[in-house]
Amino acid sequence: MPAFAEEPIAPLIAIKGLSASKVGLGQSLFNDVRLSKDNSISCASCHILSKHGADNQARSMGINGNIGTIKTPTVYNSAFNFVQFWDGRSRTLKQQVSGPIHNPIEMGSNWVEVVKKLSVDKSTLSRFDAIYTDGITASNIADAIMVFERSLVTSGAPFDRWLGGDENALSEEEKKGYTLFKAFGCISCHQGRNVGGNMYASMGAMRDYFLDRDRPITKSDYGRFNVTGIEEDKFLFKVPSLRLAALQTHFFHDSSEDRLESAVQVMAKYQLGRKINEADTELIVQFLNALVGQHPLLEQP
Amino acid sequence: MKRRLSNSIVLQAFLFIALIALLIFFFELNNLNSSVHKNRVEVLLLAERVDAELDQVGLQILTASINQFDSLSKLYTRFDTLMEKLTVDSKGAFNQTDQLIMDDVTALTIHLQTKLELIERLKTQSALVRNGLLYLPTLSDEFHAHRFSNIVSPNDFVTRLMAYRYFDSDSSKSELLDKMDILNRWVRLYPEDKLLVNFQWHLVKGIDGLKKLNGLKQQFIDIPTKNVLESLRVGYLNYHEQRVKEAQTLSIQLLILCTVLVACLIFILRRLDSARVVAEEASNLLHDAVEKLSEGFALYSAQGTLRFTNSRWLELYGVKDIAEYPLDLEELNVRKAEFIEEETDIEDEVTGQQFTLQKTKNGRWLQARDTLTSDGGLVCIRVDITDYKQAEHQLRKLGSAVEQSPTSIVITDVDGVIEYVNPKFEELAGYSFDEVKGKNSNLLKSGYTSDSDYASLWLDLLAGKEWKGIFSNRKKDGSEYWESATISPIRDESGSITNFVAVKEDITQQKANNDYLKMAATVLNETSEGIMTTDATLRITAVNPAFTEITGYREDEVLGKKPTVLSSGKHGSAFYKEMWKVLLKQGRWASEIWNRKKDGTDYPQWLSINMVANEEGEVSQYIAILSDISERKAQEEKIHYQAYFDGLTGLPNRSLLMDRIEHDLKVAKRKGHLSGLLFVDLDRFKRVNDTMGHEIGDRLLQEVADRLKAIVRSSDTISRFGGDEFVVYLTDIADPSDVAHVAEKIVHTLSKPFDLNGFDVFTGASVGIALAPVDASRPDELLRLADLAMYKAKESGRNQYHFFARKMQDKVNRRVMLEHLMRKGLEQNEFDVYYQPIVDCDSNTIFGFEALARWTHPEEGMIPPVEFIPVAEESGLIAPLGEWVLEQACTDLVDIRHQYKDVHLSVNVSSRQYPLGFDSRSVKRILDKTGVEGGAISLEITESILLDDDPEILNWLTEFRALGVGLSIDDFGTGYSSLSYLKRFPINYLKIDQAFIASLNTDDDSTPLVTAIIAMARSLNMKIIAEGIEQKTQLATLQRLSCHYAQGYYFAKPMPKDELLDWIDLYSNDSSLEK
Repeated sequence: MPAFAEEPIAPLIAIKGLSASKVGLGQSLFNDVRLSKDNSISCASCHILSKHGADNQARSMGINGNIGTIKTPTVYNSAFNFVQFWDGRSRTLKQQVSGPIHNPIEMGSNWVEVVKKLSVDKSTLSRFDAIYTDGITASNIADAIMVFERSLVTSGAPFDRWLGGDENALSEEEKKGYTLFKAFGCISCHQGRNVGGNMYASMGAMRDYFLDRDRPITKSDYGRFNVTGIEEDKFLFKVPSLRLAALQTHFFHDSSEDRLESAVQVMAKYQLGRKINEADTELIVQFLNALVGQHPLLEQP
Repeated sequence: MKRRLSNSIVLQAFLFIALIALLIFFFELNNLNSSVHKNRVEVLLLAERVDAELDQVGLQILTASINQFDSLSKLYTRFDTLMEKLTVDSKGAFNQTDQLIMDDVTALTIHLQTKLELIERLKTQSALVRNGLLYLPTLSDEFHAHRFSNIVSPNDFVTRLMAYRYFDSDSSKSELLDKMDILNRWVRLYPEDKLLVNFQWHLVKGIDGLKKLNGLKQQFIDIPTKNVLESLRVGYLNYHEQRVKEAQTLSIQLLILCTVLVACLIFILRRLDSARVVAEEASNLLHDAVEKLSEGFALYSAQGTLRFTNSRWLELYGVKDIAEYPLDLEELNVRKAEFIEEETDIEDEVTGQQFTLQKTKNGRWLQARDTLTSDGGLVCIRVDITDYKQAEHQLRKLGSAVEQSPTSIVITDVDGVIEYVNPKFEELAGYSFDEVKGKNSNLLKSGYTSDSDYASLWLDLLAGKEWKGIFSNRKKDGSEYWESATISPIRDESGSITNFVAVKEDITQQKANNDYLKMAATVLNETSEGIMTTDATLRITAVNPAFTEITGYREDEVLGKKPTVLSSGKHGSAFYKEMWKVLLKQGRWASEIWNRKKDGTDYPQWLSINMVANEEGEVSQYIAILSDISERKAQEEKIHYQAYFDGLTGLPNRSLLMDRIEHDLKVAKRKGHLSGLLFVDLDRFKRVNDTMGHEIGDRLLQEVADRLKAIVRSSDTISRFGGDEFVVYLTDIADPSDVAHVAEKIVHTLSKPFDLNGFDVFTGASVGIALAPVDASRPDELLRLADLAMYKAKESGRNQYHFFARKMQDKVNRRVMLEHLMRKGLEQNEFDVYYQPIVDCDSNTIFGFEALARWTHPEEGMIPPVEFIPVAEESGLIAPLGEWVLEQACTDLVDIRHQYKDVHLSVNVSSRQYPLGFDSRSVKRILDKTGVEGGAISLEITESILLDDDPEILNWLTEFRALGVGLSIDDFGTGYSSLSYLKRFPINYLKIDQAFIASLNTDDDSTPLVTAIIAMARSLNMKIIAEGIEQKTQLATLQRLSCHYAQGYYFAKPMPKDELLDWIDLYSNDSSLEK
């Protein structure tokens, strides 16, 4: 039994058996602006892979300068999320693909148009034909992108190496930070290999986050309620992964924080109903840094 | 025909419907695809698994025994898979089941989704609760330093909260809430105490969270997935079971349907087959009938097309293949010269009929008669009269031979009045033909031959014998001369003597020489040894009386012949070569030699031959002296005989029997014939032997042997097998029933008393029968089985015979029983006479009735004639039965004629009745008794009786005719039908067998053949009765063919007299009846 078996966090391991050609095609499509109505943006426009799989904006910009309603989540390690989007409206990664394409303030297009545009391009056409018997279809585009996204796993993080038995992979501070992370109860929601992404939690479980916030409540703030329509589901969100949190510049669905330390403390206040002092916060932040793994497309900080 | 047609439509419709039913069944069964069922069961199992996993995860979350939720991803996948399969649209696994199941599926879907949602809420809520509980000890620690900690024990709260968390009992809850009341009061008193407030806030949050968690837990537990799953499972399994039952029912129905279909097919095939066989048989029979005619026969249609010829026709015209013969009359006219050399129209002097005399290219003379048929066709009949023509020619030749004969020939009438003399006579006797014509032949008498000689001459001649002899006559000039004469009677067709012809040779010179020889021969007459002399060319010149005594040949029979007439054939050519070698070398030869007597028996003789040479040393004659040595030979024979024959009875003994059986079985194997072995055991022999002595016993065995010999054919073997056992071996038998007959005869004949020394001795015998090669094909095996069967016969009460083969025995038993029942039935009036009407085809009026015997046994019920007639014929009961039927029918006829005048009665007569004494006197007695005139009835006989061509049969039939009684040939066409036979007999009616009527207008149309029969019968002045009419079309065809009478179910079936009288009323009065 591996050393980490008892721990609530498991190491990230790259998904095996992915078709290289699909990954290649998916990557091209991921960067293909033709997926947007006016050929202005691609997936990669917001999900910047060299950074942390998302942009450094509070809210991303779609076509025609539209501003999004919610913070762009990272695309890295998204394969391990139990549902997609903040409100979990997509069960699968493949299903998720059509979301931004059709969103009028994101890419503002539709499958018919996308397929038509891609079909004009002979090289794209032949790449599809080489992989899929039915050539370019909405399903195949989504499939290729999905396969590519499944390749986006940031493995080899110091913490994962520590889990694997490398005692020296973590500094003492990082280890302490992990202990605190567990002791404070962060671990209750941020667990699993993605350190989050496998359950819903109410934003402001212990205290009313939105009451304290200085901005009015928007539709996006209702979270899962927008999907289920159940009153209880208001402000319920998918717990985000903390794997690349250390690289992020904005936190929470509404980007209400731009520092990791303060994000930790906001979480302590609203989710745990307590305060975490600066020293402990610093240790937790150090632990969070140890969660960052590597991917060829990801620039190391 | 119509009925058959509609039958076939119904049948086809039925087959079509059955096919559609099969297709429906097929699709129905397809619905119940087992893979669908398997899939559904798998879905059920998956649902149970997902449900169980959800429960498990729920429990793990509630007990906080799970520290991360990645492991749920597989459950999600399974859940999604399950949901896809549970959809109610067409992709759903339970799609196309019933509504109850679909309701359960919908309910299950909702419940499982609710469960999953609750899992998510449990995850969220439990995380919250956990963190609360995680923090409380810290808070509690902080609180310890608080001023109220001695009043409000923080750990107490934490402990109670933990208890509430993990044991969720009402007591722990109420205790906790009580404690909280105290705390809440403190908080109200000290709202500024942050530590107290924070502690109380977290506790409240914790309790709220716990309440919520417990609420969720309760909700989770309350979801009735188990019930719904169970309901779905049971519902579906019931549903499936129902479908399986339906499928079984369907399968059974399918099986029944298939069986019915197959049965129908078999039925159709069999009907087709039997119809074909019947048609073929009928066609073959008629073909045979016409083929067998000695007359050439051809039938042309009204258009002149050749429709039918027999092979005799082609043969008469010298045509090898029908293809070489003109196809129609037109072509025949063109090619006539190919077949006919000359033809002359001739009127028959006797009958006045016109016919044509044809001489064919191949030299035959034909009498040609062409008759138009009723439908405009042409029936052509050719009779070959070449023989007559040749005879005519022959006569002419004979005439000139007589004229030019070197011997004198005289023909007189029966009184000796000269009718003809030839020129040689004129030359010899000196009388011219005109001088002796009309004179009595005794004008030639010289007086030398005595009156008594003449008287005996006349006696011989008038008795129809030929006379040969020598007598002296006187010429016209008064001189006497010796003549050797042969006088033979000449008979006309009826066999009576009309003339005598004398062929005479002048032997005056010869006689003088012979007189001398005669004297020399007298010497030889007294010796007891046979003496024969021949000339050098080995022609016998003289034999003595002893020769005649030994050989049986009279002198005149061998004179001039060669001694080879005596040879037995027992000696090969080498023997005679050797004889000649010795004879020529030594001038004499003697040896024992086998020769043959005149009566055909071979006998051994001692023969010595001497060669006599003349002065020149050439052989002039041979003298043979022979003596009979049969006696000596007989002694030698006896020794051989004793080795193979039983000394007492003279029958072959066991070893000869075995040889013969073995030989016969070998032959049988090659030829395939049937043989029967009868093992005969005398029933009471031992007692006879014991009480009356061996001598009487031996006599009995001899008598038995004699009686057995009288029963079997000469080709069969009777053997004394040992003691009182005899074996009768019958070879080459036609049918096992023949063996039964012989066995019956043996039992019967041996049951009669034996007269031994004035005593009536009864013995009786049991007979066991085995058949080869049916039962066994080895002699010893055959004997063993017959022996076994014999014991069976003894067991079943002696004086019996028994077959080894069960089936044969059953047949015998049935026959014996029937015969027994029939004897009683005849006594007890169990027989009835039924009548089937015969209708005139022309006028549709009733012509008459055929009387048919019917037998209803009180227990056995109706016994069909096909069963009892053969038994009656075999047992001789046909005699009383036949006469009874005739008498009863005549009695009934009187009644019937009261109602319907002039109807005719037809009664069957079996050919077996002929030897049993049924004749014109029997018929006359019945006619006299009943007052019916002979012309009112006719007797139906079968063709077979005519085949013997026996003048006695002709007489028998002619005598019936003399009473005015008509004669009718029954079942014409089924036997060796031959019209040329028929014309020799006084037949009035011909009944065409129903097989031909049945195939009228069918594919194997018998119309041309029936046409032929009718045409031929007409030319022989016979009337035709068609039997077995069942359909109107058949009647129409027969009417068109000018058939005279018809009989069959189309008119009426055979019925008793009373019914018949009703039927006559109905038929003659009902105009609607198809006439």
